[in-house]
Amino acid sequence: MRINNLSFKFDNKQKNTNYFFKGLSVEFKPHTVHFIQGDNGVGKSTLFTLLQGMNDKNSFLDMSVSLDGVLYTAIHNRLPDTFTQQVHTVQQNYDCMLANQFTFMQNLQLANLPLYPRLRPLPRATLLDIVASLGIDVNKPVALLSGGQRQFLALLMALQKPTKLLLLDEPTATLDKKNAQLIMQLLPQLAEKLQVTILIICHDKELVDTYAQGNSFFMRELENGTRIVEVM
Amino acid sequence: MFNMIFVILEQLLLHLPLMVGAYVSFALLKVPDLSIESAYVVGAIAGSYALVGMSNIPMAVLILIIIGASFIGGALVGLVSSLLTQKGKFPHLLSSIVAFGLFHGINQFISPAYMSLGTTQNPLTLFDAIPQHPELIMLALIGCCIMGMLYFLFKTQIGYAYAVYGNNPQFFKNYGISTSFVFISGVMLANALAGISGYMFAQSNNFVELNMGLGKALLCITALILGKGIVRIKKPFTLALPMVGTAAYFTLQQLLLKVGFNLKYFTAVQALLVLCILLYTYHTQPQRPVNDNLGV
Repeated sequence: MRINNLSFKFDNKQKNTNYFFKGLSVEFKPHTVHFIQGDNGVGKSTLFTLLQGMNDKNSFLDMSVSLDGVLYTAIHNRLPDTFTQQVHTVQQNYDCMLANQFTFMQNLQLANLPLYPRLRPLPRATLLDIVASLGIDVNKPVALLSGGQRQFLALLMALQKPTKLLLLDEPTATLDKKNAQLIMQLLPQLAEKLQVTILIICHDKELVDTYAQGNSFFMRELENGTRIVEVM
Repeated sequence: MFNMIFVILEQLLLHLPLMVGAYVSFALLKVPDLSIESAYVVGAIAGSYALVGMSNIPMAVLILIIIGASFIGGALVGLVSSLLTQKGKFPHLLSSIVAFGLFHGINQFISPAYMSLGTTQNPLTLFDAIPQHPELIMLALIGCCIMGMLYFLFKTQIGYAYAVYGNNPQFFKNYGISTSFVFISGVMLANALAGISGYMFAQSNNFVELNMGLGKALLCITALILGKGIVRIKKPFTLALPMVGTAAYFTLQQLLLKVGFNLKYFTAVQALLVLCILLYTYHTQPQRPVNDNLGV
């Protein structure tokens, strides 16, 4: 996967606004887990927002992304739906992705609902082999699950629909060390099994050093205000 | 005693569609949907106009047309209020108040303040096997059909989606599901059901009155709170709750009537009842979900 010539301004209407990103290009190995580090406010979450096609309509965006051999170019300041439909995200506050009253299994099924829910039974959940390997009681309401189990659920829900790029915003920030390691061990398996490229924003240097295996990037701001991404 | 049971049953069946509709909006979607009061009147007017305009059609067919008309009339109110919320980005309480005002004005324009249905045939008496309660069988048939359809609906994707919206309104945008579709269709369904109840109530009392919807939201909230107190099940949603709640509400009303209580004070009693239960709930469950402010 490659991001080509990313140029971005938050407000396209004001002429004097500086570019937040200017000509940024970066390449990620396909179907691999990558870590992105950087100071707060440097633009990691903004990059995720752009990849999800959720930037403001008044912003300026010029970029293209090649993913699995297909080139997608931003149109009208946003990446096209054909690209963003293949991108799913697990937010730092993963609780907003869950329906607490429903069971683990029902949540997986609900994540698989079509754009317009129909008068048909809930769709079948996928990735049940991975769910079985986690040893979680799938009939337990989500409200009664531990933080780690809820994080696993949010991750599996994000992967219910066909995904080629998975964005994780600090997935281990609210987890203890043991659960953080479990998540990190699961991610490379998911990337390989589902042929999905995974980008993770992570501030935990110890985790990055342990699990990055050469796929670590550092985003920083230059003196002229533009951002660069360096391979670490 | 038997007569009291029949009266409770009749009241239960007359209000059941309204209560199930209120259950969808108040308890599942968890929105303060005051527009059901307006939908109740619009449904009554739409059904009554269908009755008056097509009185030469056989009653068995006419009742279906009337119910369809009142369903559409109510749904129209729901469409306006939910569109104001979703597209206008207003809080739903404001949208439903605006929709209420708008449709009250339209009702005044298209209908007299009081319209008698006493001179037309009554399609609810199609099966009048019980002489003292000639509408009971037809009401039971309509109630069974509506409950059957909703029982099916609650097992489908859209039924689950309504409950998920109330549980977490942000849920859908994470998975490429249309929040607007779920919300608008849910509010439309709730209001459409209120419309059917409006017609049935008007037909049963032989008149349509433009203020007949006032206080229905409070009635629904009271019955749903009673239902929530009685029905203790672990499932996220169940049709038993509005049904039991409505039965409890009208049983309480009839018992009060039996001991000589003047029903003109009953609204105050139900408001006090709701207040007491909410105060109790708010103080005993401080950790309740933020969006669970209706107590149902």
